[in-house]
Amino acid sequence: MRVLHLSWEYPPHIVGGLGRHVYHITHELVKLGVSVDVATIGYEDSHISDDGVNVHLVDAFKVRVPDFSSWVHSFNIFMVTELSHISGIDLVHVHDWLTAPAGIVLKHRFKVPLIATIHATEYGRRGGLHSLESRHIHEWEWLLAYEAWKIIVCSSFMANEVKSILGVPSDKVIMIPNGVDKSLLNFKPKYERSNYALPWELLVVFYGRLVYEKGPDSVIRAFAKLLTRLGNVKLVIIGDGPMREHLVNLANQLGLGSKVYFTGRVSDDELYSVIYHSNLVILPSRYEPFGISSLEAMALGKPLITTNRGGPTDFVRHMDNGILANPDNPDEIAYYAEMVLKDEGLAKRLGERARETVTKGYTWDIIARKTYEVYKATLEERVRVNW
Amino acid sequence: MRIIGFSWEYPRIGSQLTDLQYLVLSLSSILRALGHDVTLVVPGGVNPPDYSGVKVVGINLPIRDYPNVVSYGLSSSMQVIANMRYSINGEFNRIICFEWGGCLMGLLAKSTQPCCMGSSINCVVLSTEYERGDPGNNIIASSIASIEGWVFRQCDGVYAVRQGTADNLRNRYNVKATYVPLIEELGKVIAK
Repeated sequence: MRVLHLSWEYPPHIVGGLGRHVYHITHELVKLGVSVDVATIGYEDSHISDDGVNVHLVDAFKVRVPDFSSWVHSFNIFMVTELSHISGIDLVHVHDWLTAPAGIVLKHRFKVPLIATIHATEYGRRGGLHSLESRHIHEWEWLLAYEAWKIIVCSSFMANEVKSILGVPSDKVIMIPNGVDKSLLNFKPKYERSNYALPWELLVVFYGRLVYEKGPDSVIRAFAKLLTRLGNVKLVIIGDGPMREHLVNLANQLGLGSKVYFTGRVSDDELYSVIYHSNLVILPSRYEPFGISSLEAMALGKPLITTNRGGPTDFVRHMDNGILANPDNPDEIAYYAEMVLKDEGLAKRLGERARETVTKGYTWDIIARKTYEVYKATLEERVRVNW
Repeated sequence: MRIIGFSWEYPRIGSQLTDLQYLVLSLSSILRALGHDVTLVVPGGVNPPDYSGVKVVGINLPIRDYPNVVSYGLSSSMQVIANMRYSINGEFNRIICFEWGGCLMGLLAKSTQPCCMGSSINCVVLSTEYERGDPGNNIIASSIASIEGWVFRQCDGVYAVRQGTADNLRNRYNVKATYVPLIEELGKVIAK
């Protein structure tokens, strides 16, 4: 079985979770005996082998473009011209609308089924379609969903979203969650706790892009309330984004001063070290198709307060392996934070159960096996179709 | 000879004729009159009547909204190519493309469509962005000029119907274009 993945992100070019997803799933598929090609953007047309994965780097900067959507279409054209000569492809697997144009053309070129993983929708990301560009992207998402043989989504929330927003029939949608790297289960910190908090301080951590949908402002507001009840707490905010200045100002206005530490972007090793040393992780996203960052905290065995919206509701059971809270209610977040930080037994139990959840169903080898089953079933159907 | 053409535009009954539509209509008619089998592929779901023995195939564009003309040009080409396979029969000896939009479609067709893989690709240029717009000061025009340069360089032959266009193709894009002022002569040169 030879599968061609099309993704605009692939390490070292990483923007969000999509690149990591493609990296891990393709490497695990290779272990299952699948021949995997990945086409992604690069700075020159070249080909490399990455632990058995054939990576086709396509120069995405051959022409000048005025905006993002034009750039996306331009590198899709370059992908098609570079890849159309490949032979023996059984399936084309597209990740989000960003490679949908190339995926659709190559589907018809090779007459093979198209599998689409929809990680998020434009409607969901923007809270509606408020611009011409958003409508354009939404229409491409619709076309991708229409052309796909099967659509993979990462959560029940996303399954409902693609069904309601893109009008996809239920039997076309398959839910396969994201996963975490198994090595995280045995992670040993490479950075000292003392870099982030004093020995007597309880360490609370938020990490992610500093954008409204991730809810970092709610964490700061909740932390301000928590600080009035517990003096020995410290908040570390890891990540960067357009909200950073606003958040720094907010922390100052609330009089949090040295109790909040903004690290900016850090390496994965440093990020996981801080989580490892923390007493509580708070990730109150307002829009979260899956919530891979929640899963990472769980893999590290940390008590977690996450959002009661979207993907995390699939794998977090309230007060069993984590806590689900309303991201727009800092009082609720502060209430649960105080409960966990004051009760060591509860924190330990939440962390242990969280780790157990990850081990049983959310590692990439498990996810890849489920994806492989989708491939197999699709190819069996393809054989029976006169196309 | 079997010839397939790609263009953004083809004349429509009741609407004013543009320069590009005139060029496409007259060149395809001449090629037909010279005895060639001519099929034209254009975006849009409506197939115009068979005026002069030229088969015109409209390929529906499912995407309706585009942020700008560059996005339209790049995106519509992919939509046409994705679905043309089911509307075109047989193989073609020659691809003729009109302007950068048609040229993108032709290039993609040559890369992906079994009917076009063995064809040579020829582009007819009415004007370059340097004649129509201001690539030095306008981001859209600058982008179109950049795409024109890239796409024309991929063609086996480039033909200009004006001397100024041929000069721009050579000086701005480093593309060696043949200047052919008469459409009848252009038909003969392309189908030679």
